[in-house]
Amino acid sequence: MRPAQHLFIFGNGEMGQLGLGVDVLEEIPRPSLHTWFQEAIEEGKLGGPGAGIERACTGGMHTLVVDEAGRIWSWGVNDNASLGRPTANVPNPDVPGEFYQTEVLETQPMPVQSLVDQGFRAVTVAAGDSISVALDADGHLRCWGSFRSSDGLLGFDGKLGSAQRQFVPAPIDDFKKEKFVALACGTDHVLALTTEGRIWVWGNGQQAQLGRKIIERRKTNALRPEKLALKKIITVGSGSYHSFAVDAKGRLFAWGLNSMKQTGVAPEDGGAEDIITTPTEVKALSPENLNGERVIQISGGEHHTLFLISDGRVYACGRSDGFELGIGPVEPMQDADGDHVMDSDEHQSHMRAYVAVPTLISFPPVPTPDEMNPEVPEGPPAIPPINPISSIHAGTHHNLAVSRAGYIYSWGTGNQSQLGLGKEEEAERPTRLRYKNGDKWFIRSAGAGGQHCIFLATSK
Amino acid sequence: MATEAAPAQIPTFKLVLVGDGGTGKTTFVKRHLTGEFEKKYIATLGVEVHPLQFTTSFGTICFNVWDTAGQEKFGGLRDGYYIQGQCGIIMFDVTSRITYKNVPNWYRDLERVCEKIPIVLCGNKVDVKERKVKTGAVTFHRKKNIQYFEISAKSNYNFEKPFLWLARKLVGNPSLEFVAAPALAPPEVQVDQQLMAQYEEQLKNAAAQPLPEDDDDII
Repeated sequence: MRPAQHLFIFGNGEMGQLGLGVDVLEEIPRPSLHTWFQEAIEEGKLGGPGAGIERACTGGMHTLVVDEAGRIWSWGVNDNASLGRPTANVPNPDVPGEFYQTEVLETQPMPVQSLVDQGFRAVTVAAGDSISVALDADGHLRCWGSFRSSDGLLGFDGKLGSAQRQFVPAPIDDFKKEKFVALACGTDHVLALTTEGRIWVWGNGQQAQLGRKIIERRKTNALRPEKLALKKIITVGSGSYHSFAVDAKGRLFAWGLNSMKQTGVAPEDGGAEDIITTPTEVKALSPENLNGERVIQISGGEHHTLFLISDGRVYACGRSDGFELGIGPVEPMQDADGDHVMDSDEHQSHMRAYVAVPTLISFPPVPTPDEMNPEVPEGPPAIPPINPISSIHAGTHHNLAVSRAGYIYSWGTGNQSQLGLGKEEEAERPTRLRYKNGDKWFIRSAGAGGQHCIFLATSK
Repeated sequence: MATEAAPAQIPTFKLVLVGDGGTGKTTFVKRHLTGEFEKKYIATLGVEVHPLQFTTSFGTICFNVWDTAGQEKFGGLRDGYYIQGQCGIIMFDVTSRITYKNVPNWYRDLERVCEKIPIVLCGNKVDVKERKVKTGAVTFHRKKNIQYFEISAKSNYNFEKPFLWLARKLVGNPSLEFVAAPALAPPEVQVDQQLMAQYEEQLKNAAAQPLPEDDDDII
């Protein structure tokens, strides 16, 4: 892409998430051009003169960037092997007997060299808390890192004699004959979509996010990939502990944790349960209920989900007490009809607010030279939308949306500057991010990590 | 007799213990042997309550420590767990820093249900050698005015520190001391005392550093 895509970053860097070296470990309260990548682009390091960033994604506390040469650059916390390269006991080739400091290797962007050496040309990356996945141009998959469960480290592939943490990218044996087109990661699980429209799922399955039954004392069985029964799938998506798929007819399916009704499954289809054990259609977002439009992207946080529709609308459901849904304050406890209900047994119910029915989010109008920060209009959101969205990115409780006009909005809760709104720790509704020289950039895509966020932008 | 206070007269505080799964919460609370012996299970909430008594210079106090017993696997805890909490401990694992990701979220959940209670952040497993020091220099607790201790549940290192700090806050007397050590399970590992002293020095130095100034210019 020309002009080259640059990287912007903001949020918390205490654990080295910002990739700006060992001296920048504080919070960056508003989007800031990543100086390391800016220099790399100027020096032609990312695939020749003028080359920039192709893709990027955020994990819980790490980031993966794909450059124009198809190399993956990684940085962040590597305790559980998420970076795809060793950062401990790495000798310094220039000084015999000396080792690099782990902190130095974690806090600066460095290529995942073993993939480069194998000629693996990455086109897609995805990341969970400590798990990372990549696809190359031929649809081959490589995976590294580790999965956790509620009992701590669960492992990588669960095989006898395998390391619990996979420090360098590895192929997966079951996939020798498979070619993949898309990936999605939850906190500790992976969905990989094949060119045949089938989904392989693996990782931690304690909340049914794998769409199959996992016996508690055989939890490591979940680390072995299995194919779901769903067919003709064209899109996969994920929240922290819940999963989604869209088929060729535009039907949306959901499964996994539903404790705050984050799957959007209607009560009559089992949506009253706290866990959706098998893929179940979300009828509220079927093409019939969307004027023939369909869900094209799904991104979820810990207890909520965003759904992007083909005309640029965005729906949301699930937890709302931290304004995760971007629809302003919500009264506690609503049932499927939007009526307020209180459970008689307070110890058994979530007293926190959530919205069970996928609800349309209002975005402010597109900025104009006269009005750079127009307010979100009153009343129900317009269809088709006045400010169509091109991509959505849910963090744990914070969210980013990129508009087709090239602006970026955030909302939700983030007390580590992950909203990118300066000192604000909460935003009730989508709020445009403002930053130094912001009017010079057209934003293309974004990523919301645990405590940090990124976006890619080209100069206008 | 005046020295044998009836249990009902012992000042008792509900202590909510939170943190990601696998950070050592249960290991930590089980170190206190009488508390472990007298624990009660609340089936409706799936929690274990450990009554941890400490003998202080002002008499005996008791922390009823609520341990989730793995309930966090259901993704977030029910409000019944937090309701009427009087103090809190948030735990993460310094050897698996991804468990620090949710610390601000645990803090927010605690704050939301139990307003303005004293909270301690505990970085557990400092006995493990391969911990990262510099990027583990957390500042979240300073921003939110909560206390941070590094502990090692398996070695009993700093076991009493969080309780002492909370007791002082709850009683409102910073001169309160623990006058008798509670019976603790024998250490499963030993910490390197010299290394611990070094960590403590680093923490002290970090606490003396000013928090970064907010540089909030837009244009």
